Parts: sequence; structure tokens; C-alpha cells
Amino acid sequence: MKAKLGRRSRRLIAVLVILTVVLNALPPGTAGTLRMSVTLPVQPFQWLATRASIALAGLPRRLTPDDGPDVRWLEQEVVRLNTRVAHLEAGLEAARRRLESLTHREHPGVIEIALANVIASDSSDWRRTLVLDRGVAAGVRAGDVAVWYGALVGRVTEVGPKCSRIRLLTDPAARVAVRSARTRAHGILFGRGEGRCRMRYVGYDRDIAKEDMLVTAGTDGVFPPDYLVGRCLGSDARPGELERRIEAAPWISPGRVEAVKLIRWQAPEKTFADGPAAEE
Amino acid sequence: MKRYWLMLIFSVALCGVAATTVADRFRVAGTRPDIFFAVAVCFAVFARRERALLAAWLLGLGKDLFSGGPLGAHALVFLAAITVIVAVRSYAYINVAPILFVLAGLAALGCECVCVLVTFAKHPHFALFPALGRLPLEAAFTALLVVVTCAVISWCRRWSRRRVRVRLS
Repeated sequence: MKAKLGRRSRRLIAVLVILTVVLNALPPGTAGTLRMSVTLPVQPFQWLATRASIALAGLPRRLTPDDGPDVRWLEQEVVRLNTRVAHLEAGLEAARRRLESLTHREHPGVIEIALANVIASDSSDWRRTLVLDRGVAAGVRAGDVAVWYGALVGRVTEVGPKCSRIRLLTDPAARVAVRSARTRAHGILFGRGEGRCRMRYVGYDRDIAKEDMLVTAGTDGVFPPDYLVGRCLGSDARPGELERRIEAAPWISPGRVEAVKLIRWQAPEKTFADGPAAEE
Repeated sequence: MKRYWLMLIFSVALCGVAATTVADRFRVAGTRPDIFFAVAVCFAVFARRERALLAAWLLGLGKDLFSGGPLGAHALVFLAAITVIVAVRSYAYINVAPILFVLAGLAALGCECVCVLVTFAKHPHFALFPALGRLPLEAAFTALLVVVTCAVISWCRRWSRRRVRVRLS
């Protein structure tokens, strides 16, 4: 084989590079729809593989003798039972709505859209997104919020006909306006991509301590207020710096999410929708 | 050619399902091998030059389609890495386990380094050093997957040739 690239190879590389640039220049909405549509045929297999791997992961525990309660196994059982309870509640709620034609409201201004199962995660190690099995057909729209038992999970960024993608709090592109539940100190939470987040724009004189709970502030016009976001892992103010360095962990661990509830929040007119907390 | 396209599309779909479901759930030390890149390197070892480049681009695009990152980022990076591997293939016989392991490991390390740096450049709050710290282990897993997959493919090819010879004789 020739060592140098031939004319055909160079032409092929040029065409592929141009195609890549064109794809990269697509608007985010178009790129998202393209992604969801192209991956639609494999989603049933992703759902199947996810269920199979969840069952396989729990197999060693079921096969080994029971030496006593294992905390990790108990946590997984809690997640599994919570998922089952949520599915039963969703079925009950749908039946109640059909009978009474009422809309169940979780929070003033919040509308429940759908309960969705997680069918796949992100193929890249540096992004934190999940694919759900609900899309436009179930009424899901880009911008809908994913929650789970009063805790924030993420936000819908791409929607396809029968599936959607949510961006988790730990994704590098995620931004949430939060406040401390104890002291009401406000800040912006940025995802860091390694299961951790950083809270910024908190003045050095504000009081935020380790183990403080962080909740959504509702001032960004994106996420409804008073949803649990995470807890503070550490906070320090270095001499000469105007803001505190605060590390936080999300309340819902991304690896344990098996189902989410999608909601839509209509922000009141007085919030600042164009503020610094608006996502990219 | 038609069979080649079918094989490519099937590879992308299979890698997508495996990478987003099974590989994510069964991580080792918090890392998982880059299945898309491993398959791209296998194409680089066995396929002709143009087909290997096309396969690399398609597999990179497949990884972007199954991810929430920018579209086309991995496609470009995979194309560059496989171009290098194909050039090295002209000088040395790379289908030897130790050489293939080192080459695939270095290529995977380079690809992921570029992706991490691009992510950090776009999102300054990204945890750069923990991510860079995980890269060598991830590259080693990917290289191991490449060696095993190439060994299986080589064995399958030898077995099918032996069957053809037996039928002809």
C-alpha cells in the first residue's frame, strides 16, 4: 500500500470535513430533531438493553446468600420500588383525569406532562444526558423540566417523535439558578461533568455551609422554584476574591435515575427570563 | 459495496446501543471503553484505505448522534486518528497484538484528549484534571477491546477460508 494519501483519499477527506462543518453549523433545534429521528429505529433495542443490564446488575445480589442488609442493595431496591410506585401513581392519575377531567397540579403554574423511562445514556464520557421514551407524541416540548419526587433532574433539550433527551445538572452546559434553603443566598449552579457541580456568583460575605440544601430559586424563568437541586459539599472564601468557591453534588445521582416526571412551568411575568442563569 | 454499507450501518447501530446502555451500566473504575473508536480502528486494520476513512467518519458521527454534544466533533477527531493509523499501516504490519495495543491506545488517548480540551474550552467550569486523569485507563480499555476484536475477526476470517478450501477440495 502507498504510504502517502492518494488523490482519492484526499478528496474523500475534504468532502467529509466539509460535511462535518455543515452538520456542526446546523441550528441546535434542527440538530436535535435530526439526532432523535436518526436514532429512532434503535430505541426499542436501547430500552431492551437497559432493562436487561439493570436486571443483570441486580443478579449477583439475588444469587448470593443473604448475609444481612447491604446499604447499596437497599438503595437500589428503594430506587426500583420508587419507580414502580411512580408508574402506578401515573396510571392512577390518568384514570382519575379521565373520570373527573381535572388537571393535577404539583405546584402553582406547573403542569405535569408525562412520566418517562430512561432508555439510554450519553455515548460520550464528557456529557451527561439521558434519552427518555416520551417525545412529541406524548406532548413533550424542548424546555420541559425533568423532576423526580420533588428533586430536579434536568431539562429537555431535544425532542423527537417518540423520544427526547434531557440534559442533567452535572452536564458541562447545565446552568440553574439556585439558593440555599437555610440562608436564601442566591447563586448559579454550573455542571462540571464528573458528578459534581459548582455554585458561582455567591458573595464572599454570604453564608453557605457544608451540607446546606440547595433548591431552585425560580428567578431564571426556566426551572420552577423550590425544587431540591443538591447539597453543598464545601464552601470557602479565599482572601482577595469577591465570590465564594462552592462545590455541590446533585441530590439525584445520575447513575440511579430510571424514570423521571416531565413538567412544564409557566414563569410569572415578573421573573427575569433573560438573566445570567439562562442556559446556552 | 452494498454489503459494506450494510455492515457499517449495523456497526454504528450496535455500537450505539452497547455504548449507551450496557457499557454505561458496567463501568470499571468509573470508565468504559470507547466502543465506537475500537470498531473504527478494526476497520482501519482490515479494510481498504478509503473504506477505513469513511467508516471512521461514520462511526464518529454515530457517536455524536448518540450524544448530547456538538454534531460532527467526534467525526472529525476519529477521521484524523484513523488517517494516522492507516498511514502507519503502510509502514508496519500492525495486526500484531502488542503493536496494535500501543497504537490503538495512543490514538484513543489522543482523540479523548482533544475532546476533553474542546469541552473545557467551551465550558470553563468543566472538571478538566479529573477528566484527564481518567484518560489513560479509558485508552487502555479501548486498546484492549481493539486487540480482542481484531483477534476474533482474524480468527473468523481464517476459519471461513479453511471452510472454503475444504469445500473446494
